[in-house]
Amino acid sequence: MQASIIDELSALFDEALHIEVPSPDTDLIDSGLLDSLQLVQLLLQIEERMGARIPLDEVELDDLRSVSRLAGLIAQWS
Amino acid sequence: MVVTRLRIRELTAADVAPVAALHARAYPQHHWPSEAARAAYIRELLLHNPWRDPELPSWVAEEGPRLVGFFGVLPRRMRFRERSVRVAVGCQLMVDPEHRRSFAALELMRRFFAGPQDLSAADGANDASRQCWEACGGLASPLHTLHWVRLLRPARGLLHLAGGRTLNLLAAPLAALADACLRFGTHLGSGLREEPLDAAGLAEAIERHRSAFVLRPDYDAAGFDWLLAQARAKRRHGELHGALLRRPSGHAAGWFLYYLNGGVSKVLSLGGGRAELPALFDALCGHARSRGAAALEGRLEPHLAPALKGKRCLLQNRGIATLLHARDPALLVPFLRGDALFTRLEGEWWTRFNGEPAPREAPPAAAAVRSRPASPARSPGYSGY
Repeated sequence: MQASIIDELSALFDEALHIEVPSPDTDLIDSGLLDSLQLVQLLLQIEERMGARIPLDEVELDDLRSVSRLAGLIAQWS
Repeated sequence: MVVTRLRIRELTAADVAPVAALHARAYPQHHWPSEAARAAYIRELLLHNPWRDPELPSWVAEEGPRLVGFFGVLPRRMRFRERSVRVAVGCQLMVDPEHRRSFAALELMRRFFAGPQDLSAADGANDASRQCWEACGGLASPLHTLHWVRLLRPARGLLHLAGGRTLNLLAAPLAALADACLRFGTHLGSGLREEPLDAAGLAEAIERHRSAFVLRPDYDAAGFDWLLAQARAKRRHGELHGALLRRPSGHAAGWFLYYLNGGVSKVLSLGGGRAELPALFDALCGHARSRGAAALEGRLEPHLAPALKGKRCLLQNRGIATLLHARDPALLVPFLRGDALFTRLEGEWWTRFNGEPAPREAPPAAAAVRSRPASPARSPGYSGY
């Protein structure tokens, strides 16, 4: 389940944000891949394509720092 | 791997100079006479405003020793029915251009929303701010995003709306001739008597029409005087004009405040009783036209919408949003229903964080805004639309 979400997320990064993420555990902030606005746009895309709404007012931003952590949240909120 | 940690903390007096430097990096296009003037303004607005509240501070983001983000907060007071409401107006959300690869903007906004205010608001927000605000649980007020425009001298007004200084210079004489031949807006009189607008007059008008506004500002004299002085010091849109208007019977019908220039004059606040608003709108148009304005524009505040019926207004969506957030949804309903009095004066629109295009005077201490007599058309102090 988680693996398929990771695949879908990686494709979404590539297609929607034109960001190539080296690995699911890459820190998206420390590696300089993502900023606040891109994160918001990513969450909108996740909601639209994957049907999972992740409310930013209810999660820790640290839980959004990598594709694998994002996948865990999507599994939780979808 | 070293995990980058942002630290979000309250703004202190010692942060003003670094915040001013950050502002200069984030907004290099804004003109300030000096960095000291920019810092002084930030200090005055955010640390010395009359509504300052230690529980509603402005916020800074630090990465190590470096200040990389800022979110200004202006506390305001309103009343919801008879209950006092704490409002926090967010302004100047900015992140160092060299440190944008972080979640600083979201961290600042989340910290802001976590405050004890009943209502959070921002106006003048761009699309990026709106998206972040909505992702954090806020909403953009749909009607406030629209702006109405009333042409007072249609040829000149359209010329200014079309923009372009060269076009304006070349076509202005022809437009003036066309306007002289046209009689647009047959009657802009209202039968209302004008008085200078001061805190007591505004309080009287708001109190008289309190049933029209379940959510309304709660001004005291000192706060309103300070606000008017600040608004008057903003010169980029022209000279501030305003009036309290009374019926022949003597009761306060309402008020208006606007920036007059030879092009598209901008309305800061227009309010009063529901039944009075069409006449107040006419009075405002007559006031501006007699002083040389080519057009008037204002935000489509929901309380104004019924009064604009038949007033020959154009509507524009310029992508400038008014943003709201409240834990109690009941506080948001008046914004949709039209019984919230939340004009540009209650938000951040009157601030001067964008700098000023030309040297200006310090805010005068006098409180009332005089309703000056009509004069021939003055040269435009307005530089674009």
